[in-house]
Amino acid sequence: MDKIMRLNEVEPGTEIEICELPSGAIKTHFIRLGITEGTKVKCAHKLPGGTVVISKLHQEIAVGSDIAKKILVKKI
Amino acid sequence: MHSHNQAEIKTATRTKKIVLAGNPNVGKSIFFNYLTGLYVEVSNYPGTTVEILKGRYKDFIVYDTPGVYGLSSFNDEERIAKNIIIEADVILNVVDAVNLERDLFLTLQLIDSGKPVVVALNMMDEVEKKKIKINVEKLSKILGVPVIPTVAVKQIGFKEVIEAIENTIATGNRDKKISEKISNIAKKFGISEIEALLILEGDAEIVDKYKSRFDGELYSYDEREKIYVDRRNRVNQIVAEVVSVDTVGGKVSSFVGRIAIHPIFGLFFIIVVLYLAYLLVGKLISQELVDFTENKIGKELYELNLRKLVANYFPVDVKVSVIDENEEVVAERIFNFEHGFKDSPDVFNQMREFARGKNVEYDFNFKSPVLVILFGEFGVLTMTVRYLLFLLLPLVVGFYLMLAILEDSGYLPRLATFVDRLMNYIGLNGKAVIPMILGFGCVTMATITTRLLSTTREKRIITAILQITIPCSAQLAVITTLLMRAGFEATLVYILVMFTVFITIGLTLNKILPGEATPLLIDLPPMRIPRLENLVRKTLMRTFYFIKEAGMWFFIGAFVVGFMQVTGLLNKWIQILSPLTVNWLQLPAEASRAFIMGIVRRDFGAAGFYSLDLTPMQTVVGLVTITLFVPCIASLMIMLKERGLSEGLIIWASSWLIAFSVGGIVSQILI
Repeated sequence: MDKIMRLNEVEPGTEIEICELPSGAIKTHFIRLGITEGTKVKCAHKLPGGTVVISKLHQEIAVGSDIAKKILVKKI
Repeated sequence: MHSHNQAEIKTATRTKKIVLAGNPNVGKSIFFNYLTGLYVEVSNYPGTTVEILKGRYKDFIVYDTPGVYGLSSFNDEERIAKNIIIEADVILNVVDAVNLERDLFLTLQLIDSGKPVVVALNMMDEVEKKKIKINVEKLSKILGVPVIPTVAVKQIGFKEVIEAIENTIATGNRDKKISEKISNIAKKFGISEIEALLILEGDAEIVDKYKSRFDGELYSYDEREKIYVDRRNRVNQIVAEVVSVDTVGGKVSSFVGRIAIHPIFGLFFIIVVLYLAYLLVGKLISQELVDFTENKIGKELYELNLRKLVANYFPVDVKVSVIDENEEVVAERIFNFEHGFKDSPDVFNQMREFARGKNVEYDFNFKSPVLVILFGEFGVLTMTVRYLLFLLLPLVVGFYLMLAILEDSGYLPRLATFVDRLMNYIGLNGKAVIPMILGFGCVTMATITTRLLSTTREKRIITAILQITIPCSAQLAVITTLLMRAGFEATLVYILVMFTVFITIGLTLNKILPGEATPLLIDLPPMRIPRLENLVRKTLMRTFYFIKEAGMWFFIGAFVVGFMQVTGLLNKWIQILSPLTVNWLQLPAEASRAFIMGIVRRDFGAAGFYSLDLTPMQTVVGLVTITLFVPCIASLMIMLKERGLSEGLIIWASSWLIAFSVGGIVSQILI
């Protein structure tokens, strides 16, 4: 079941683990928000156009489609 | 907002600074309001980006900072927060206990900075509701700083927080791996520890600040990613040790919060929000309230009596028009007062007789040019005061209240998420919706907040859109009133035209400017019911600023127009522009007057159509032209500052071109 895929391909409602974040400023911001490689999150919503909302505990983070395409995840 | 090495020249007698720091939407402002009471200074607005609040508590100066997730320089809010924190003597770190994992990152960074920190563990009521258990004592012990559970909205824990602030001198437990490095750097370069930490983390601004003193040496310290990952792991470890959750899962956001970003219902949500806004500002305030304040108080009470008072002593012709129920003039008479009312009691009595028991309108023609400028049709002391206090003030209060509700409810980030993809088409990401919405409040303020966006390209696009197509609250207020008068069809046409221009400008700029939109990455705060006290405070503060800022320009504008009227320059200008206004825009020649006023202030321009007798479609043409027409002087100044002289002037000149071309095209089609 641990097929690696991109965040923008995940169906809403799926529990996932973050495998790889794009490096640089985006990664630093993710770290501050509480997400690193290995963090388990849920894909909460997917908006038309590819903007993804992921949730973790009591937190929700909106990820633009261009970033979502560069994040590798796997189902858990 | 530059820090001038004040850390190095600290004196013992200096007033201590308490700085509030925390992630966005954690309730900092409630702490701030509690500490400072009513007297608060807002510094920023024209000069810098974000609202900085400053107040006093006992012998302390208290600063509020914009909500940030960490100390760094990724955007302007962060830079400002960081620079205020650098100057702090004590930091009150407000933490959302529900999102401890997110918030503790900043807390640990603040502790690593070596500043004394007090942690207010806020929203403990929600923690209980969510059945989360936090071992506060243990958390305090691990961090090495006071941690006080609070419920800000009920002021629970405030006394303890204040006590802790007054007594705190100790710094917390730093990350052992970096604490030695920090003190070494601080000693070696003779800088404060917080700056040493930021240099170690490769903070661009601090490195820049010192680079001339230390050549390239500072660049070798960039260990940001490593330190961040370590800090993140420490946070996760701490959370694992002190937090236990009884229930697993559950809904993250409320029903409303989910609806707001739902692919389909989100759209309905926007429509409902806009409709409610319309009810408040468009209907209640701009029609009913303003009708009362502007006509009854402004015109009939204030202006009339002021002019009568002046007319007592100075030469004047008074035209009295009797008006019937259909608002039509049925009789008219002019009374001459060679030396004012007092000097000709007979004429005065005739005038009284003529007006007795009838619905009349007075038209004062003062003989002296000075009096015309002061008390005439565009009088500095008559029209300006009426527009400012009795027309604009209620409307601006309405718009700022609405903005405050949008901000405090947590809807804006969700709106940004919802429109993210759409904004991509015009080369922006969802975040740009925030300056855009703010633009409907004040374009000047919004132009400043474009700094929130990360690339020059985005700033360019949004600035052009703001300055050309977005009407500010003051202008919108006048526009709304005029459109209400013109009817539904006219309103629809106006909105359609403006929207088309907006899209066209966006698409064009996205096409011709090199590069592409930066993607969105934001934390979504939960949606909450805004607190009335906060709304009132915000609204009053901003309104006060608006009147302070706008007031002067209004008086200047009225003076210029009044001066031009007296000297005959106004008629010249009307003549010069009349081929354009009359033939191309098909408006009355006097409409040119509106454009001259529009250069000074946008709303002032739109208000110039007030006294003209326009058909609904003429109203649309006039309003489209004046909306697209140049922004007010204040926002032009800010734009020149933000975007540079040449770019700013290009945008300014384009607005002339676009306004008259689009206005003319609409006119040729409609009229």
